[in-house]
Amino acid sequence: MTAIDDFFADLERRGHEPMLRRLSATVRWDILDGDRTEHRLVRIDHGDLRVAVSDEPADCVIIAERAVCDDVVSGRTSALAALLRGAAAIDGDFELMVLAQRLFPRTSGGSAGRAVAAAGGPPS
Amino acid sequence: MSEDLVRILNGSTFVVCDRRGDIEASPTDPTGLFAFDTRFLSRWVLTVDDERLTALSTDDLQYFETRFFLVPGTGTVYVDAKTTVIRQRAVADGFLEQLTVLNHDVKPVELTIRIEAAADFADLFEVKDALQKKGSYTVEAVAGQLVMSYRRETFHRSTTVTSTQPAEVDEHGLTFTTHIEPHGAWHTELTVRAVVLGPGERPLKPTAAADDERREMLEDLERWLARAPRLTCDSDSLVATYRRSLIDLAALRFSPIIAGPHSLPAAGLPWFMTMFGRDSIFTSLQALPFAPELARTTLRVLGDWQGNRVDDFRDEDPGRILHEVRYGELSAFQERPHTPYYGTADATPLYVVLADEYERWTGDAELVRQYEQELRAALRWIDDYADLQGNGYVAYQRRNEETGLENQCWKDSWDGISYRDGRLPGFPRATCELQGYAYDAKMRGARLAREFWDDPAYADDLERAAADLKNRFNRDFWIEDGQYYALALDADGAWVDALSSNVGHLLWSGIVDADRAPAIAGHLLGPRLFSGWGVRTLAAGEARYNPIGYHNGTVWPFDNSFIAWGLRRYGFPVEAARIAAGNLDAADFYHGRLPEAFGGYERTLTKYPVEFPTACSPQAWSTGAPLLYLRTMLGLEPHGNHLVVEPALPVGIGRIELLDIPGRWGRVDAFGRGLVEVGTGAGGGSPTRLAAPVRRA
Repeated sequence: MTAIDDFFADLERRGHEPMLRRLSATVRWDILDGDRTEHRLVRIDHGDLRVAVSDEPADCVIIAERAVCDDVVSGRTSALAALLRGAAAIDGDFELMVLAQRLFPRTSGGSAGRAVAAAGGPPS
Repeated sequence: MSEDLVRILNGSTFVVCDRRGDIEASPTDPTGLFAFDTRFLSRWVLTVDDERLTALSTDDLQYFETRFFLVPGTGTVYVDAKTTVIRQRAVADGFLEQLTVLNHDVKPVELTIRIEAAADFADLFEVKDALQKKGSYTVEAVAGQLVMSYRRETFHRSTTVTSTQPAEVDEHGLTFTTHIEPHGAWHTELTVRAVVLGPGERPLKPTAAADDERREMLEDLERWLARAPRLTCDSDSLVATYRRSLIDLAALRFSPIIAGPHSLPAAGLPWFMTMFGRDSIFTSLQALPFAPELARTTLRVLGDWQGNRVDDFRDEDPGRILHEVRYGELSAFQERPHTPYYGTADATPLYVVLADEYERWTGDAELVRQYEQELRAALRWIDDYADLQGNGYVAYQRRNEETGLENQCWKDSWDGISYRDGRLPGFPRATCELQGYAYDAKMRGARLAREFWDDPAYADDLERAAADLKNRFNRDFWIEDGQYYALALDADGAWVDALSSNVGHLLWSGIVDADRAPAIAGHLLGPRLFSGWGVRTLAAGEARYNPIGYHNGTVWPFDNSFIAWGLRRYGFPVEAARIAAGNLDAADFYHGRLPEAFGGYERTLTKYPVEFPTACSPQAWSTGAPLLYLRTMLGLEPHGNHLVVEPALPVGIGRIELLDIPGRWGRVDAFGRGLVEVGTGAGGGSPTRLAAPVRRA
């Protein structure tokens, strides 16, 4: 199990993403793992989420090595940076890739900025 | 940038070259072919029989196309007029160069024509900061094609050069051996492609045929100009400035990969040909009566990219609207945080302001319904993430100390925010205009909640919060002695007490108590702030005041256009007209293209507006300023399904007609006549208020 597996398991549990209420579309992840490719299809229906192991066609396909997927969902790299680096590719509707980032886990808690301000600046 | 450089521009791709069309970039100057924030050509030099050429003339045909008339030889006295070389270059995803050599002699000639080409693939940030590359280069000359590539791990950028005439291709360029008959011509088309390659060598963005693109761009520019309202006016200068603005705005349109064929304004040439939250929003607001589709794309793209999680490196929070996106190598490897970078405190409230203003003009209820979640998240950000000290004010302090932005308001230079005595405050900083934007966002959010989201309770909450913010603001920021609002509150909640142009934005936002507006108008048109050309960023007499200080005394047309709008809102049409007249007079000195900023010297002293040395030009929000002046001077204001027209125009403008103004009313015309005496001197006199503050419907 790596971060990307946890991510899909978490999506199943969440079942709904309010920030995607305006969206109905399919997004597929093609996760490259050595010479194997794992497929995960996420169906978004007005914010309701369903995850399936499937390689059927999708409106947007995100293709990347497992390590890159792990880095993106855990926030170590941004999807756009991975794309510009040539470490990931998009097939289909680019806008859906942008919106799919709303599926990523959010850090819980309040304003990080407020904590920094209270501490008198960022930790050095 | 030197005035001798030629800039050819198409959205985020641009060429900066000399008057011959040649590119010879040094590591630190911004000449070259740039796309995706990367220099895809750093050398592009044409010779005929090993001789460099001399420009006879250089003509901008369109913003994306320039023609160079050249003759061989570089001597200043003698030129061999038996040969003429014409280069015509159109910028697309790279560029298309039509090269024609004419032989004027009665004898045939054999000429060796050579193009030297090289690409350093510098990131625009590297050009700014002179950094070293970490990857490796390859150059291949195969099948009549020159392919220059740069690779760093999986990062791959490539420039290809092809020609319609057969060429001898080597690693440094293309050579043509030509025979031209008497009075004959030789012609070739060179295509330069800037390609971003993803896994499997697949281009990130599909490319069209170059000449198709050129034709499409021509048609698109014609459509763009035809769609805009028509201006006729006794002032030729204003007509010229208007046309220049429309064309420059067309040039600065930029289609980020996610917007398909739709475009939004990029910020400005040469450093900022990319998506900026603040600049795109302000420019879209200025252009609303003329090109509302810019606002639509801006709302969609900024909404889609809205911050989603807490990321200190990118200064990202949920709900935050981005500051800047970059596509270069440093961003790709996260040596810079711009994928995207979110460190701005104003774009998020301004996003809500734009959404509301857009609906009021266009009646596009669907968009504000579709983006309800994003707009709500933006409103939440103001309270949950931007109130850094828990005192109810929007403030900023970067979390990325290494490469993040220190000043996250529009005056973002290191010394842009200061006390009267010149000291710089610590962080967080709560600048005054941010509170105005937050107030306006809440008021406008309330209208959206009530009319489109069917949530009157939320609307009531927002209005209560806005009223409370206005009360507190007028108590905490007001400097009674000086009769103005402090520039900011510092980390201790004390006044940053300089007098600045920021107080003008407060009028625009509506946070100023009505009985204090005359004092603010008096300052804006008074001798310390008003130069005769416009309102200075910082008042004369403040310790850091300098008429050519970037944010400390120069006049910014964008800033002035919103100040004039604010004066109109509070019932000061004469003062608004004076500012508009001063700025539009200045535009005349720049052939209708207002620069980013010009010097804050007294108008009576310099007689002409002194350009700020390193200003970007064209720059989107300066380009938008004349458009907003037209709106302000004509008193255009949507009211329900109608457009109210209430002109207050400077005398010099004479008769004016703005025809076919698009909006929810279809298209309507506005007429006016210049009757307001504005004079040309610097500040003085007391403001005359003609009407009660204008309340939004």
